[in-house]
Amino acid sequence: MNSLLAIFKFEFKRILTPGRAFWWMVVAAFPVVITLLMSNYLMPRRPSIPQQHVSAEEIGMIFTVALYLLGPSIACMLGVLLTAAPTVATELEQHSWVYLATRPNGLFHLLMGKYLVAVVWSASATITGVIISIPVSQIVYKWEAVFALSGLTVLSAFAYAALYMMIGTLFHARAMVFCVAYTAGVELFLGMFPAVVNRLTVQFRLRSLLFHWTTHAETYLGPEGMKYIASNESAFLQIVWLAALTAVFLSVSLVVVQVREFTTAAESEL
Amino acid sequence: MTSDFLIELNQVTKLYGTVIGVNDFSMQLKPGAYGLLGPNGAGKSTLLNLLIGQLVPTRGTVRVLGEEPRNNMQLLKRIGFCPGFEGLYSTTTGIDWVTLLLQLQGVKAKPARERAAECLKIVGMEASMQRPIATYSRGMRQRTKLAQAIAHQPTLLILDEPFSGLDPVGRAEMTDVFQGWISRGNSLIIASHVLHEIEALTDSFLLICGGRLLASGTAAEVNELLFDTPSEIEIDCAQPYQLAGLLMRHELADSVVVEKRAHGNSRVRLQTQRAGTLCSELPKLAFEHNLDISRMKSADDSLQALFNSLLRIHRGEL
Repeated sequence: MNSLLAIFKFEFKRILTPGRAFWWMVVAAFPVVITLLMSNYLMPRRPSIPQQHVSAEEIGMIFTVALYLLGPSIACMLGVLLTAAPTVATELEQHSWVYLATRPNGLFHLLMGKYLVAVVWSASATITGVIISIPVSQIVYKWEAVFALSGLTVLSAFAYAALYMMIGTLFHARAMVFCVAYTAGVELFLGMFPAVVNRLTVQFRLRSLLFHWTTHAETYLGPEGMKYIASNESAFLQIVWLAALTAVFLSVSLVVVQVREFTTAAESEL
Repeated sequence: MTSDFLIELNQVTKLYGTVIGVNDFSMQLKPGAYGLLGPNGAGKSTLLNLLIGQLVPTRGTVRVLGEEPRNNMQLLKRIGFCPGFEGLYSTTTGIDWVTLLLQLQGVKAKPARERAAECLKIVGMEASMQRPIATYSRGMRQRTKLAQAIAHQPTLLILDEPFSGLDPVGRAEMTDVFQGWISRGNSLIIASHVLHEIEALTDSFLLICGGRLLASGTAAEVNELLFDTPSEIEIDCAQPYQLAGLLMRHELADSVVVEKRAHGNSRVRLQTQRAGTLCSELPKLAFEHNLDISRMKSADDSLQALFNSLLRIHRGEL
């Protein structure tokens, strides 16, 4: 625990740079800017625009879903992509890997320490963005949205950081490329694909939780066609699914770094 | 598991795809200080990576301090490793970095920082340890790397080109540090291609080339291997032409050059394939012909010459 805390503190100190601070603000500002644009241009509150067919609650739900897509889904995913995916690659490229690898459980602590830093960095930026966005949105049940979206952000950060760390460990030479390809192909395409396969994605579980944790869940989860969009099984089961996926992703990463030979000897020697 | 040996390699081969890093390497080393010598690409780093468990042998077994090194947490506490490349975080201070690596050895934060400061002082980094590593010179980085290797007080220190980037003063200081380390009964394996660096620390060395062990032992033991291999010898003699004639007549030399010198006896420089026979026959010749020989020396008796000869034998040139 001492070692894990040491890596966490060390890595956290390392990311407190002006460059990283700028990206943190970009991630935080992303949902705020889009929400402002939506609120002012797409769905203005001006009475001249006829809105009699759409209730305030329905508009609020549209904003809630939009903020889910902007926050836990995109901003948080982008945040952990930037921080978790290159974990192994950067250490190998700057030749710092061996110092950690020759410490007892050094690689375990390295991966877990960086994983936690990625989660904290991304979740804090996204939650900040979401919390600032909610007052400027037209969400009716604001506190409910704050708790639901913050919870989803935390779960999203844990799950996606683990996923990207696994991909970055398996394909460290092209970590970013594989992460983006996986996200586009599996999480975004298959995650929205109306088939049972989408249940294996993080997106599906997060989306299901969104409907569970926001109002009128039964309205959205009731129809037969919605079962491919979100699960009507309990919220607890969705969390168990996310925890299981996270555990699998992390386990694969940890096993890979223990089993595979990561060394620069091949390049320097031959 | 206990063992009398510091290192045991049993028919170890390491392949990178179809390229051989280490080839059928066997050796047993008792605790002590050893120099690992070889040109670039000889397999030194591969061998060191096998010893610290970063590589797994394709064939054969590796044991360090009686244990297999791969993923061996207990063993890693007893090994200090200083790689040949830098790999330091530029934005971090020297003391923060060494403290982190000590904490990863299980040392608590406060004692880790105190010990890190102590080690950085030992390597001469006391004044600069609070500065970011980005501001360090190459020599300072090298010293910082050494500090992290010795900080957790390992039993075995493995160093890959530790003098690289150090100025002469720095080299001398580091040599003192290592000599102190060895004198306290610790073991050391130091890889280098600069021979005099190793000669200052130990006379036990391993010569490797092409992933193979060419020779091991002290300089004297390896010299014995070269007893009857072609060598150049210098003999200072008052009757150089007579000596040259005798050597050629008795087929003890393949070529002879006489060098006149301003002071002292003239020097006979000869090439021979029968150095052993020459050494045993020369006293008899000197006695019988009343030759005044003041000095005899192998012209190439430095470790470098020894190494070059072994390499030439390995390549089939001799």
